[in-house]
Amino acid sequence: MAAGHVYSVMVASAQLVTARDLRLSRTAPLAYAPSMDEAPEDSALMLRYRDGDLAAFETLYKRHNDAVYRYLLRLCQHRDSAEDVFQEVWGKIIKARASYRPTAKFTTFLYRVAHNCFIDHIRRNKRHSQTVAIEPDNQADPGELPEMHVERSLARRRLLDALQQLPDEQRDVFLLREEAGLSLDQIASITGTNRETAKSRLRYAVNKLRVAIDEPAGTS
Amino acid sequence: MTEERKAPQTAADFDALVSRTYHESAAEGAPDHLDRAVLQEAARAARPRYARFRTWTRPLAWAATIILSVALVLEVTKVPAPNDVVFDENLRKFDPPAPEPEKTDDVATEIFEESVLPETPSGRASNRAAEAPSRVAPMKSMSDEAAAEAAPERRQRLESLKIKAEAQEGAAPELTADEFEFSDKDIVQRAEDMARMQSEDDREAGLEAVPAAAVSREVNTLGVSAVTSEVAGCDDAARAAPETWLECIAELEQAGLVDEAAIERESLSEAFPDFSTR
Repeated sequence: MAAGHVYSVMVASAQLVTARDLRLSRTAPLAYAPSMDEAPEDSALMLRYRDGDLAAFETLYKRHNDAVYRYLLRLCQHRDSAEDVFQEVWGKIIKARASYRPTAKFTTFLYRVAHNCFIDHIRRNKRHSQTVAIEPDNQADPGELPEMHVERSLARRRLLDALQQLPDEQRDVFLLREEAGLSLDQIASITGTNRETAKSRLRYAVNKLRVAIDEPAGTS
Repeated sequence: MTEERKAPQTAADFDALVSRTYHESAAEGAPDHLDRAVLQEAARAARPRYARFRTWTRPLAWAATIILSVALVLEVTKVPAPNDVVFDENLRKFDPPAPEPEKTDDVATEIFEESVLPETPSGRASNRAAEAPSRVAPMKSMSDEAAAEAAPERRQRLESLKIKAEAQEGAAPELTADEFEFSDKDIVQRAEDMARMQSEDDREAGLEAVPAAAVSREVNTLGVSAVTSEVAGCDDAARAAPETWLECIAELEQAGLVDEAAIERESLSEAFPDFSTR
């Protein structure tokens, strides 16, 4: 019964947000991720930066910096490590400007670099297991019921906890999907697997997170 | 209640729910100090590579200009040695330009005509073998009559020398630096040969002989000063026998080439220790 109540609250919350400003579905583009139309712009910005236009790089950086940072923060689970890897990633992007060719989507290029830097970071040091508690945003939406707000806050905390418990591969795939908005093919390309493997990892990750969200407050 | 239970059980709804929940909780952004560091690095990398050398451009340009100017002034004000100039001028007179390879047939034809018809006046005889004695001739005190008597035989000998010289030129049209030096010696040698022939002619004509060494000295005064005194000494024919060698030495002494004569005398005593050089 408690689970049914949670379901109803979550669905109502999701429907409220969806009806308000977003239309989330598998086919629709993700609102938080850069759309496909922006990819050429990213490439153009990178090419302009290659030619010495610093403003182009600033635009490019501001477009992707937060998502890359979150991706690395969730992967590393350690803020200092995430910052180190973050700087390393952008350093490599900067150094690669001369040899950059817009053959692929810039986002794919960027997150492939980030993924490789994270793998190198894991190999370099073993403090990867040290985790940090990442507090979710607890601000309530205006007009949201107090009961609904509390439940959503708990759901966010449970999701982040569950995300930290995911295996690295599943978490990587989930974050590439959610932060970068990449397709399964692009994720498979970045992680060096095939499409089915990426899809399977993403399905496992989503199922585990779904279970974590559905858990009653008392059981977590 | 049943509708409430059905709605979230579709995969799309659950994925949307997970995605929405994740993004509501993911509000972190890159720290400002990281932003500054990355943008500073980007600015540093975007700076043109030659910017750091730009400050050195003007001093380097001035330094290069001064060095080049000084080098140019030194080169221009450098006065060539007078002997070198005379040598070059006389070298041009004695040594006409080497025949071009495609003219080999013409030269051969000319040599053939002149060898077959030695008495034929050749208007084309303008090579150095013919010119050399004409330059040396005014230095001698030969009368016109005696010269006219000795002319046919001398001309024949000159022609044979010319054939030899042109055959050598045809064999090696392009001379290296060392060969070029040898050719200078050859010039002197030829001049000496021609002078010797003339002296023989003169002797036959009853005139006073002009030693080869004297001709050689005249050649030297014309500017072939780079040639060593060994060349101005006695030739191999004279050195073949001690008597002829000694005669040659005497001629050198008569011509005033005392040093060359002393060298030749010393060589004679070394080659023929049992022969009295006095």
